[in-house]
Amino acid sequence: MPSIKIPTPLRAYTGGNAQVTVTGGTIRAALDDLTTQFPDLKPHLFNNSELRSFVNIFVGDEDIRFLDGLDTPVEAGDALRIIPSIAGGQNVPRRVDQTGLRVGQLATIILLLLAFVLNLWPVVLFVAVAQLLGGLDAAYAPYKLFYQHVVKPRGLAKPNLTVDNPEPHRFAMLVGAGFNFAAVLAILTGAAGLGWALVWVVIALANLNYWLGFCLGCFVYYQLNKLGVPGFTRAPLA
Amino acid sequence: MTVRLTTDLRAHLFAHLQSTYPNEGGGFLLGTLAGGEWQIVDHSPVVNSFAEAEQFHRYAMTPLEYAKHEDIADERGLTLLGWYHSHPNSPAVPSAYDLNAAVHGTGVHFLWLIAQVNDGQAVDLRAYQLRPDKTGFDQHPITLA
Amino acid sequence: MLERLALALVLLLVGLVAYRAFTAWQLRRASAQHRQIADPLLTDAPNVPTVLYFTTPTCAPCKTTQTPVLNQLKAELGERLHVVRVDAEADPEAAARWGVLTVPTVFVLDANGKPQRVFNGVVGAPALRQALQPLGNAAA
Repeated sequence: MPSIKIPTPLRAYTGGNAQVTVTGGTIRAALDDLTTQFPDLKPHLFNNSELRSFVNIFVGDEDIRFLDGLDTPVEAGDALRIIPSIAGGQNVPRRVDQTGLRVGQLATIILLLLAFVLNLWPVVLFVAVAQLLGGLDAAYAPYKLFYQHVVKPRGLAKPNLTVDNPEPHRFAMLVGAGFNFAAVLAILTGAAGLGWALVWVVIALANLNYWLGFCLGCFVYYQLNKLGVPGFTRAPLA
Repeated sequence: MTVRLTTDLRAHLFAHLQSTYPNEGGGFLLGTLAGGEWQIVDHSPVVNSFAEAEQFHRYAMTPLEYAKHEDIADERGLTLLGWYHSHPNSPAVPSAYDLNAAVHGTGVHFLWLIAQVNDGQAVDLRAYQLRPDKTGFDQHPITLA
Repeated sequence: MLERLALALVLLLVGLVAYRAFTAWQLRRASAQHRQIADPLLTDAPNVPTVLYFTTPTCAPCKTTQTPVLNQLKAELGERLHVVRVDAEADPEAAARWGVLTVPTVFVLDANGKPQRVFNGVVGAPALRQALQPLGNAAA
């Protein structure tokens, strides 16, 4: 008859037995027999009738996952074994590449200044779209693509990953996008003065962020979080 | 419940975990459990089976490694008391990931030793056991012989 | 286009001037307060130049850049530099007293505790060394 080797951490539930003889033509039947003999073992092996994910069942040297799972047939002399998964790790906090953010800020400053000097609202529109896509963390956000495919490979700037929440920075980008979209609208509807003033607000905020490291959008985000406004779910990290 | 090990053995654990830095390292703890005391007499390093890129924050053993080391422990007449692993640059305190692994994997009857390794130097070693209600770990004092 | 270019340059200049005016005001105010009463943050300060460093727990550039820079300077200068680190969130009164608007903010004080320079945002080691040099005692 097949026997099952019980792992050390579970021997407390089999009366200290390291080896238990079981009957059954499949793994499922064998385990059912085992848990009938030792009912205390059941909750440590099964989640309802599914095998717990951190529990490994081996027939000889083969994991039943690569055979037929619980339906794997069992022969008389088979050596079955229950093996717990051993794993550990740390909670790794989320990181933000500060250099990537700065590249975006610098791009915004340069593009918006160019737009103003050359009186080109389409460039403002481009920046608005870039900030919108960046704020939504879209895969094809222009600044992200520029950073990943031009800046980093050419070593133009060094990545600087810090423990940080990405959401406040994305919110700041969306605020910038909002101002820039409003600016384009103003320019196209004849209120060019207002439109370019809004562009300069974004230029000023981007400079504040780039040179002094002060992100007004992030600050606003965390204030809204403190006030419990729905949607602003991330609190400042310790 | 106390955990006992020699300063020598602790030095061996530290040396191993410093050698795997900046990645997480780990291995088994062998010994005896008697009279409410975990007496650790030996350790066996086990290679980290996680993908290299993840090893700075994840550690796992293959089931076959477990089987091999449990057989060795059984042959030597020792108990596989538990296992040890490192937290590079972070406190020797069980993480949510650790808790999940204990709750679903190793259960209550298994000792967890965690070492903090900062910048290549092991600075702290602590012992934990999953609570019977599985809501968290109890910390056990370590006595060095 | 030239008018717009000129306007852009003027606006940038205005921004720069406004910032300089702000830091000058920050320093003046800190100096004035220093003349009146000894700031509680500085009561233990020995008679060497001091760096007064405002930070917050959530300030990422503080952790990754500013703090290491200050640690490095402290390691270089040892007893010739006094570093006071303030959590602006834990001590908002101190932050208000010193006119701190953003973090990191670093004040450089001379050996008598008189504010000489202020840096809003991250300041690197070279700029700090340059700021400390004329204060004697801390020059390499």
